[in-house]
Amino acid sequence: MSAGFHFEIPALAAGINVKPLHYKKALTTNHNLDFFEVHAENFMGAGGPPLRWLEGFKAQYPLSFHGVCLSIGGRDDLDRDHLARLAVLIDRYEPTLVSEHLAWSNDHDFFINDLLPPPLTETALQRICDHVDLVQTRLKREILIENPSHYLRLDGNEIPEPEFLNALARRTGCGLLLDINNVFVSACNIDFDADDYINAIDVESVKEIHLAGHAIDQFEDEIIRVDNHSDHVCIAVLQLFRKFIYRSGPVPTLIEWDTNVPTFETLAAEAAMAKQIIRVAIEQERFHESV
Amino acid sequence: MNQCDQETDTRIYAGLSAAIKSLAPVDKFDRALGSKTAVAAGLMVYRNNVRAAYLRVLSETFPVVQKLVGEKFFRYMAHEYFHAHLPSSRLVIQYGEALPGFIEHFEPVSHLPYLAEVARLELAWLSAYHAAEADSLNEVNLLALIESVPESAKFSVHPSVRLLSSDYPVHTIWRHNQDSAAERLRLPDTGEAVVIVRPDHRVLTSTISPGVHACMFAIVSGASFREGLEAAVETEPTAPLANVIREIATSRVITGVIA
Amino acid sequence: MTTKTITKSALIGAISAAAAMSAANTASAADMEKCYGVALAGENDCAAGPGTSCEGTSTIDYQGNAWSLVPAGTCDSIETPAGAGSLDPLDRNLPEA
Repeated sequence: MSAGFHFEIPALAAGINVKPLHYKKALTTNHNLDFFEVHAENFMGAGGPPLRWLEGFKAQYPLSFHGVCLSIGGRDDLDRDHLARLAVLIDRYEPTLVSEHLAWSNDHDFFINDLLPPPLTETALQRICDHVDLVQTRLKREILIENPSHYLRLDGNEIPEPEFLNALARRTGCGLLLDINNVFVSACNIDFDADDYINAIDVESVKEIHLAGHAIDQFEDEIIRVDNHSDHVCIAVLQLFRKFIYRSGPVPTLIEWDTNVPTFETLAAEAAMAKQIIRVAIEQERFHESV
Repeated sequence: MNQCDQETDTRIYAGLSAAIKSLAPVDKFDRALGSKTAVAAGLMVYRNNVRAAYLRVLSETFPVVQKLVGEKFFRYMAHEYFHAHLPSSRLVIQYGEALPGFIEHFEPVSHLPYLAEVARLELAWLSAYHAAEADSLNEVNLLALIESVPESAKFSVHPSVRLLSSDYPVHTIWRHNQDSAAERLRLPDTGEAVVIVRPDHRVLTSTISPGVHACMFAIVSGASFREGLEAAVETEPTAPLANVIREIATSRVITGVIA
Repeated sequence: MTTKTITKSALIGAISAAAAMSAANTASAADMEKCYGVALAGENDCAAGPGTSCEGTSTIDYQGNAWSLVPAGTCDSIETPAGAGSLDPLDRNLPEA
């Protein structure tokens, strides 16, 4: 599939999900960030400051558009109007990467700004493949699909999630956005092995990685990890990240931090750390190959 | 479709939607495995996530309303609003559109009759912020244009122009609450008309006289400049015409003549 | 608009007068209020929220805190001509669960 972007993102690259309070620093100061990601839905107004900022980013950096409410994992037909808005935005700002979630946010007349888990059945897989096909055809480009966070162990799932995602990528030609914090949070919350999950993902499909921090909460005697993007990436997630990179080689990696957003410098340092982990993992891989 | 899959589908989509929408907390879900506590905790995360997201959206859309009633009360009002107006749009910038009407009928704030009007002003500000771009004329160019076109000419206005006319001094209240250390404010016993426009990257708001409001409203509705001025004089017979014209010219609401 | 209340000469005169005022007083742009600070204009998000302990997410929670059902912000410092202040919490009707 052809993509009309004007910047490549190198494989060894680190970026951040940029928030309005950091727009100015991101565009006017020297830093080590290779690309920026924004939520597409926040730029769907007719004009105004958000789109003026986006012009600035487009002129200087590769962009990644991360959609949060296309509801690809839903049982309803996709919203053609929303898809049209996304297509207009992509034509105008030429992002290098475009991603969405294996999740739903709308069911019949119900819309919410949240990412709910779809059933993992053969029927659902076929329907979600049809949705991804439709999106890629309409946008005339590849999209990436991200694994969601889980807080409930759903009954009736027939296909393990990594297999489900691999099949989705194989059947539609879409890429995957592997959110390693989501894997870890979900593994803790609904009891599966995070290493097994990471190892089961087809490395060649993964075109972007997300890293983020989360919160640990308690309800009665139940510990629950909440994917609120509120902190540094935890050590366990960094270890999973290193293991995956060791297997996959470098993949553009992005830091998400949405709650208690720190300084721009802290975010840039977090991204630099992720990039350093990638460098070391590649070196180790080369070393092991040479002995 | 496989019958078993269809059953799973329906129960997951409909069940989770219902648990999130429900006014009373839901701690059971027949499609979730695990201990009673684990299921209750998971459902609570989804429910709280959605409510917190929309509370955040409302508090960012209506910062002055929140300041006027305080954070605790605003949280309560947002909760009541959520259940009265479940989200119906993908874009959260549209979520607060029904809040002014909701406030008007919300009994606990019935003694604050200006609150709904302040909410209308904040909504207008937000929609001006996201409105399409256009170049508006400065006063010199606009006055020259008015002189050079036939009297019947109609004018195009900036897509961000929003006009409000309130029985309460809504702009004074709004401005007063922009400062973090708000002192006591004794309200005048008059209404206020307001024009909002975003000619460049900044949203501008200003109080205008009833005559200027009538003139702008007429022009926005497709009247000629002369008809606008006649509306001004009708609304405010004592308004000096030159002042009305100057206010229109400096407001940057007009972008040109409609061909 | 059927009656013309403004003559052509009055219109022309008023436009010239407005132009003269503009030249004499360029500070008029200061009448417009500029926006205050960076707008935090309600964004779509993909992070999860406050977890399991989100204060006051059900009507039942509010009933235990009747004081939270009364506006208590800067509205207290605004005096309307009709008189102001928040109502007594005891006067409030609690919502039904």
